Amino acid sequence: MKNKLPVKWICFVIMAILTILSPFYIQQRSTSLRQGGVEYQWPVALSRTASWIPSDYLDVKFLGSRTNWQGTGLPVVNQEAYIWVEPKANGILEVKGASNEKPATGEYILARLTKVEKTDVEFQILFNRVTLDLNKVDPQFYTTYKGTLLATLKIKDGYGVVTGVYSKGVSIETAVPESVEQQELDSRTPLSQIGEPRAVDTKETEEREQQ
Amino acid sequence: MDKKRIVWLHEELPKWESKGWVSKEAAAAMKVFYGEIGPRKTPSLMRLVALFLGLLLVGLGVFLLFAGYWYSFSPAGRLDWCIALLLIALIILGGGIWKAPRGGLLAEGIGLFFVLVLTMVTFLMADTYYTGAGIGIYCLIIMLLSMQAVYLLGSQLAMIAILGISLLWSTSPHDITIWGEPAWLWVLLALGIPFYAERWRSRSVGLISTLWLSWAYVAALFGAFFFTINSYQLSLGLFFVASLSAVTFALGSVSKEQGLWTLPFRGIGALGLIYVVVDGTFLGTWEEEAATVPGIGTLLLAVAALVLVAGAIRALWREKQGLEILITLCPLVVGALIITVHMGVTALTTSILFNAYVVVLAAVMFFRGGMTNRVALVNGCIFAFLAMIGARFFDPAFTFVERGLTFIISGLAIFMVNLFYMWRKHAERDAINSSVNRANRRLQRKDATGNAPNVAPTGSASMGSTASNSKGTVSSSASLGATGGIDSDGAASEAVTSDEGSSMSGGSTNNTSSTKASESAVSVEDTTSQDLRGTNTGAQGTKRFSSDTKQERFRPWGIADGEEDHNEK
Repeated sequence: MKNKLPVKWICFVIMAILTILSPFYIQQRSTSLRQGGVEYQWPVALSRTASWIPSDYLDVKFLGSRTNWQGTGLPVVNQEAYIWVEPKANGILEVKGASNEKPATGEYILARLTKVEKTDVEFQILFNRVTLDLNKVDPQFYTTYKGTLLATLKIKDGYGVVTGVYSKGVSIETAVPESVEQQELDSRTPLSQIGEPRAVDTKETEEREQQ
Repeated sequence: MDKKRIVWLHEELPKWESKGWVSKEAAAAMKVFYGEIGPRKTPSLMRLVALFLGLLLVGLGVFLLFAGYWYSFSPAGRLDWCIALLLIALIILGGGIWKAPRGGLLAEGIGLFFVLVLTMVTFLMADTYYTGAGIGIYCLIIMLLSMQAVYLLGSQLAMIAILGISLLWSTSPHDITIWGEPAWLWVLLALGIPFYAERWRSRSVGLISTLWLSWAYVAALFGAFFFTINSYQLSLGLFFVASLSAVTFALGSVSKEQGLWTLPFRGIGALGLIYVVVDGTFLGTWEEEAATVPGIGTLLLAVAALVLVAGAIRALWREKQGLEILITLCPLVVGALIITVHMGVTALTTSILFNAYVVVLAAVMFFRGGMTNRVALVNGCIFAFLAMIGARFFDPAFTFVERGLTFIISGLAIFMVNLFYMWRKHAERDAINSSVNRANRRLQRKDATGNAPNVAPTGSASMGSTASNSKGTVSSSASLGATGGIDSDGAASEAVTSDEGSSMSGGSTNNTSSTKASESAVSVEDTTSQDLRGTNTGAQGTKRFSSDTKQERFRPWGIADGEEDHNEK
């Protein structure tokens, strides 16, 4: 009995320390991404899932989440996959393919496959939230907005975090939604040309010519 | 004695006294005999439910208070709240380890509270510092930390909660490619085995908890098994599920004599086999099996599963459980069919063969269950058929017309069977009633000759006089919930009836001496078999109150002691 008592309390103390440390571990996973991750951009759409609890985040839908399967074996729905990405000159990530194997070089993001069509797969990036002060955000941005929104994300070892969402370079917490006409024009821009200065210039030129 | 019956007796005795059925002394003697209502050793189920509901409402109230303002706190503020909650839980846990008896009710409560707080805090932190990671990492943290509390407090409820979390983990999307979640889950489930073994050894102390723990553990093991198959996308999935289910079922069947705790093994094993029946009847299952080629790892696992199944069949053979052997053969049948599919047999043929096996098995279960009066086997047969029929509802291999007609025909068949049984029951009832009427007419004829009083059929729950004969004897029926006899000295003797809860009716009181009867000792006898020999009065557990202090047997229709009415027999 004499030996049992200290062992019991030693176990309890170890458990107590680990229990107190556990929230810090979860915090550290996020902060290490924010501090050590490499920043990129991705065109997105926003939504707010029905929530009866006041929240401080919006759901992010990454546009262009379809690519071809380059892994071994047949992909299946719900499978986790490595999305091979490559940053363009303007910082926007371009999807190169999806695989069940980690690429030897280059950047990658962990995602879950949501649809499989022969050799093409659709995927969902797991870190699909952005934390914002929703009191400052115009609800139009996450309800009917059709214009271009760019998310900034930080990536490290396949995991990532969305750090902000911008409309024409302005954070949506302070930005004003564009006019409906401008949103309509933006929505016609091919994904590959979003963020490309030339694409915008070309459009404006075409509009002037039409006028 | 049961509290409800004592309360009932205390409510009824004054009425009996006022009616003169029992004297005050007799009533007092009955009260003394049945004694006081003792304190309960454990809280009643209703009290526990009320306590749980109260706790739930308080918990929901606290949740709402936090939910309204939670996101208005900064992430650091939320972290502070979480740390504070964890500290409170740890202090309570420490107090429990210090003072609460291990495995006691308090320890159980504290253990469960700790697991709940840790789970809540972990998921709140995951929400605050969102990285999109699956819930696996958080479940791992909760289970690792809570497992120590389980061992320190000996809390079965905490263990059941942990197993519930493992089941949640098993059914969630997961991150196989990163850190091998199924392996961690198996390690955690293995960590719980010594605790389960300890509970199992002391199962006589708290059988119900051990039973629930068994359910949770077997369910968690099944969840982990499915999790592993899904994560590693193993081929031969149906074979593995069938093997696990059959072995679990066999384990429960072999050890069923050891107690109720083995029920989950049989129950969840049977559920797994029902899943196999449903999945095996789909054409798609066999088409998928035909399309995949199992790897070497899968084949090695299959060999291991076969060894387990063989061991289970051997154990059942020793116990001479033939039907269970037939059920445990399921993985072998599935395995053989998978081989035939790979040899080129069509998926349709394979599916038909599998259905044939299930039909044969269900028929054997039905006949065996009917012959040995084992309702579980008959139910198993019904569930097997229901599973087969239910699977067709979603089976794309058949057109909507085919499926619709099959369901209509099946439904009509059930109606027909039901009608047949109703008709048979009705005929049986008519036969019995006509027999009663014949007997009653015979008695009336005897009564007309003055040999016996008229006896009318009495309802089992009726009270009041029903008939009186020419001599003034009153036949009364009274519903009584207690059994027992009290002799003339006020000493009580218990006469146990065959059905303790059955009502007692009938009995006769001589109206000329009813007052005296109430003053004299009361004789209560079970006359179920003795006094109503060969009669169809419908009385169950008949009690007779007699004014005769010699406890003389009363024959309502004048049959002397030792005589039997052979005609009525």
